[in-house]
Amino acid sequence: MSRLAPPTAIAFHSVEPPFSNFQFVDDHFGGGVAIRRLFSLARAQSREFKTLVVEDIPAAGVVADENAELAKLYSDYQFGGLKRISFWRPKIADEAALAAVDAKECVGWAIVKRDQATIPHRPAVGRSPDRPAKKIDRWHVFESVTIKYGHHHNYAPGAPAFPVQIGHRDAPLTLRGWLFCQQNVLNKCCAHVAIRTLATAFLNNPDLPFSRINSLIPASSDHLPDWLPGDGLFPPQIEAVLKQLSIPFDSVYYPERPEREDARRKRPFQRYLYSGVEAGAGAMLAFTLDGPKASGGHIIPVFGHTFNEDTWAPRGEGAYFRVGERITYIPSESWTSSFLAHDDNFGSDFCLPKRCIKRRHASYVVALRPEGYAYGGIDAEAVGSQLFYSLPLGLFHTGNCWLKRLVHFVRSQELILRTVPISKTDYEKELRAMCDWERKTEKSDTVDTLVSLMREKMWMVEVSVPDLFSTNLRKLGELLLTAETPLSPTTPHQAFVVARFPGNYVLLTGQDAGGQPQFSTVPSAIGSHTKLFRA
Amino acid sequence: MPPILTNVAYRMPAAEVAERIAAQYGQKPELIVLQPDEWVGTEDVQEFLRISEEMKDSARDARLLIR
Repeated sequence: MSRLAPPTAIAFHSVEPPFSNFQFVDDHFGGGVAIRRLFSLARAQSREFKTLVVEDIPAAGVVADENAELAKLYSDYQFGGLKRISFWRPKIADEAALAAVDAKECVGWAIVKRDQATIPHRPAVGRSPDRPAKKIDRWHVFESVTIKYGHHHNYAPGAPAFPVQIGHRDAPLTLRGWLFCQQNVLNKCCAHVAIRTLATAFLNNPDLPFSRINSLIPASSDHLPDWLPGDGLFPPQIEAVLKQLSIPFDSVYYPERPEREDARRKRPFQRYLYSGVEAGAGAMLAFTLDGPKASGGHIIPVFGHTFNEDTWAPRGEGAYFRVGERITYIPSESWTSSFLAHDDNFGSDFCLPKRCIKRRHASYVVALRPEGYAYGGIDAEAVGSQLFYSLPLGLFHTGNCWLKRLVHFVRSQELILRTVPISKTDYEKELRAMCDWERKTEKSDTVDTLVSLMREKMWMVEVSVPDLFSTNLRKLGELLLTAETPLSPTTPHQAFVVARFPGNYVLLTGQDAGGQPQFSTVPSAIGSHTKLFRA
Repeated sequence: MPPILTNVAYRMPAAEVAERIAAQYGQKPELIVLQPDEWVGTEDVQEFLRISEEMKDSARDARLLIR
């Protein structure tokens, strides 16, 4: 692997003034925008960023694999070079200093590659216009990882860890982050790199080759003659790749048709992005742009979001989500102002304001689900909302003041719901560690008994109320649904596992003679609010 | 609302779990039976899930070239 290969040459650059990131990128990498973004991120991530390490490395593993694919696609393909660059906080002048520095002082790394090839002339055929030959000679970011920006608003669960060798240090260092890759218009377009960002994390395989992605793309009659992978992909091809990689997902295509406006409004793309992010699996958004030169779409991977606890939007805008006429609630997504995303046209780790892309421009959204989850968090939340609004919490004879407050917000349909995947093991840990505001914890034998109801893969719909949720990041309970089998559209409540409210659990214990579901309530030692789950 | 028996297939039936936990507090489980007209928004949820199902195929013929 190039990522883990020792260098054939290494150089150390102090980046303190008068060193110019702009000049360096212009001089060494032809001024690539996405490459310059890496340098800017290093400065932004750490004001103490003092050293740039640049290494020449051999093409190996996925890079060599790409070179072989490019040589097959383009007869004049030339591999123009491969650099590994890394950004460090302390001053590092030589290999001895590099060997001694703590790995935590590295704020990011990238493998930057130069490709040279000619995209051949493709003459007009039928509806296909004449496409002149195009010479490509450019550096691009083959892959990079930058540590998460330290702002406490930023939340990016599920980021994988990538080992990388720098210099001749004793062992590779490991950085956690969402892999960024850039298209080269030759064997990969934006869709390839977006898939790789998410698939490396999902499959826990940092070395997923682009040739593997290309091998999974089915032919499309919609492609122009002489199609090359860098020309672009259609949504069915993206979905075919995900399916063949055994990555479960939910998607919506929003074509520019008036009859589909309803889908845009009822199933906004932001709900899907948020669901994929909260699941720790990520999402993709394809959009179109206005303008005379705009054609086709562009897709980006989304892997995080901000949580702005003081945002006015949920109250001021009445950010209710309507399951239908009789069920509305406030989704936790309402406190998100921006998504965290890569855009390979511009670089990695951007904040994408959630209303920045207009509804009419959002064309296609894909939300990944965790492995083994048979349905998505959006559906789980809809089913959970019905249970929260249907269970007669007001009849529980506990006198619990928090339960009474919850009942108030049930009646006004102002519940706040947040849906996250959780395993049996994690829920058991969550229950054992749970501590309410009066510092009460659950009885150990109660947890032991409850565990026998748990499933390995569950959706947890957390319930909270205004202020408690946003300002304190706390909740009044949760409802668990098994995610191992698809939801039945007519009997979705078959997925019910257990619900917890202040002072009570609710269990589905059977059915009455008329076939109606029969629930039982039993006590819980947790009598007030507790922390939201954090994966 | 159709019968729901999922829990009884688990390692310990939910009814037994309820009995045990209640006993840990020196109580008995309190039963709640929801009648069909007490479920809020059944049709809403069914319609919501129907649309989810419909959306699964929404990209089948998508002709947006993404590049």
